[in-house]
Amino acid sequence: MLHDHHQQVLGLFVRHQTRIKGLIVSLLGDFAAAEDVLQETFLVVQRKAESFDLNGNFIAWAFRIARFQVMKAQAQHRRTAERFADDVVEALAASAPVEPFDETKLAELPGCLEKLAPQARRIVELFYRHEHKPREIAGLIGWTPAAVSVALSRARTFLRQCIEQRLAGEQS
Amino acid sequence: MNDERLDALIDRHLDGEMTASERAELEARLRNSAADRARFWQRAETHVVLHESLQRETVEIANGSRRGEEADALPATPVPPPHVGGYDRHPSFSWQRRAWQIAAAAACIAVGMTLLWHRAKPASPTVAVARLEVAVVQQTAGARWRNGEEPRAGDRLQTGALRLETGLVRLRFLSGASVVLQGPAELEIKSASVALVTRGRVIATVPPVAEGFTLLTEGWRLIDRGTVFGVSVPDDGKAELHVLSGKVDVQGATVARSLRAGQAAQLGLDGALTELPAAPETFPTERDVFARAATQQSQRLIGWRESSRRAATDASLVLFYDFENADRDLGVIRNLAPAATQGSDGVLVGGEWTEGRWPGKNAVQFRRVGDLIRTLPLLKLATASCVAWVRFDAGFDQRQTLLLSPKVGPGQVYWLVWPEPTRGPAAALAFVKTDQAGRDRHALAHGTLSPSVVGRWLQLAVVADAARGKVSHYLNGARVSEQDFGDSLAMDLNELVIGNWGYTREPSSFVGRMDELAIYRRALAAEELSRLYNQGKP
Repeated sequence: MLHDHHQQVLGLFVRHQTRIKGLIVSLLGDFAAAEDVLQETFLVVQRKAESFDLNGNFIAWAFRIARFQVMKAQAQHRRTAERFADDVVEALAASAPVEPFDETKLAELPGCLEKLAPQARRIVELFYRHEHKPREIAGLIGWTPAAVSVALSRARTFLRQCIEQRLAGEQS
Repeated sequence: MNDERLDALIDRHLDGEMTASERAELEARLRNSAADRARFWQRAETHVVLHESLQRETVEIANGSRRGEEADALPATPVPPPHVGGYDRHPSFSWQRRAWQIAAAAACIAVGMTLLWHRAKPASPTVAVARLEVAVVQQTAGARWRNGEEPRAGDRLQTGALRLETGLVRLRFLSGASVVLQGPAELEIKSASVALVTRGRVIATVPPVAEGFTLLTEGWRLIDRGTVFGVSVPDDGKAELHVLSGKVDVQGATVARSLRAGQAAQLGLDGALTELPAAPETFPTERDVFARAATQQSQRLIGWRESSRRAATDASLVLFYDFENADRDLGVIRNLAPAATQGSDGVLVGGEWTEGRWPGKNAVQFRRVGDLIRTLPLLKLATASCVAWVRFDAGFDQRQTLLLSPKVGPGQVYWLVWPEPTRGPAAALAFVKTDQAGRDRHALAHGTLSPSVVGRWLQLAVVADAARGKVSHYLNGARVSEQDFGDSLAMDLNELVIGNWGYTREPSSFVGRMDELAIYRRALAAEELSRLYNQGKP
């Protein structure tokens, strides 16, 4: 029975890992570090699985663990300018949405990506698929880092609106 | 509130490019305004959707699950290829970091959510997770990894580097692709369908189910489209691709094309692709591995028979079953010990004859209650060593009795595998003896048998040393625990039951095979056990 519970909790982790990773990625602003923290979080979840009440909100519970792991990782590896202060991490984590990740948004993304200008698309690919830093992308395509950041920003704004419009269009 | 400024600050953070003053400005806003925190999560969501979506696509492409994609229609602008040097932390290299998640998800389905742990490293949990089994060793011939270990058929491999010093190994990836490695060779398993070749010769045979299987070499990505192909990476790093059948998509920094059966190319570090005459005969085939593995196994069986004959002359042996000297029809296993007593031959009550460590070697398969061997060696010992070659066929979710003396009371002894789920997935080896007051005394080697040993032939040993008052457990010739027993070791071995015991409340059947069992009336030294292991290992 206990064993069952453990497996159910691990199953919840696998099901909600996109959401949990999203929290970590957003708090850290660093994909590579986020992966490590996610793994640490997974370990703790595995260790503490018995203490999770299956009637509770798993994402909220996992967020508390993930938030602590973020602070722990930051304390070990990050200079101040590279990270949020712990109280900001806590405030942000406490206000993070805890409903399951909305997979329908992923489905709308490819159609929206196609509408981006070729160079913006390339920057998005280099940043999100290949996980290059804006500085590295600047070197690869011969832009300034600031221009890359602006292009990324604009792409995010555009894609967000595009996804929302498409979802709204499907509903109506 | 100026949302544009806030968005810009949030984006700088998400980009990982923030200055100290920008950081302070953003922190102040997030501390003071719930609305700004909500804005942060709104903005971050697009970031997460983008990352998740593009990463999943990348993995799908690598796993070949996007079947619709026609091979010749490769992207006009090839994506930057992976880099070999220091890719562990290279930001463009996400395969490895993704692999554990895919594997975790796969494992949940494949093994009923049992998460698989790194072999026998209970000390630090940080090394214990995340690397999941994505390939299985099918055959080996004269193979040795660089760390000195020998791969064996049935071994599960995790993501990570394989360094083959010598010999041949055939692996089957979880995706279904088969890969033959010829030592010296270095291969990094990235996932169930992606591997990086850094050195040596590798041949991949990819059945339709595993189409999309990808081998990486420095700067190049070789994507299978249903084929057999060989890759060699000499020490100078100039990789060669030889397509033996079918088709392979080749992607480099500036080149993307397909090679077909009979074609070969050199893949330059500078991104140049130079066609070569194909030389398929320079690659080892699956048949080579089969043929060499068979030869090697029969040689090892002969070697074991010789050393076993010598070992049987040890005057301190009181019981020695090699399972070869046996009457399979009548179910009698002869005790070959020089001091064998009448009645100490083993009587097979249940269980079936099966194959042992090598083809042609006898073993007994235990599965259910009643699969057991009984014997009457009429022994009372205070010092004894018990050595067995066994292979577990199921995980450790119940106790499994290897050997016990069935008479209840002081001196009764059990040797068994003892799961301890609260401590982790690895089971303990346990020696249990009933003391004068009728209580059970235990000597446990915690965390000795991890789930990854299932399917592997193991030498297990327990040494009870009355002179030193100690009990030691051994796994594969190495001591895994030694402790003061704190009680007399006087053991009643009048009668023994091997492999099972039906008369307990909880099930305790050994599920697996045994093909050798020896009991000595002395404490074997660590060196002796190590030597026995080396003589008997498959």
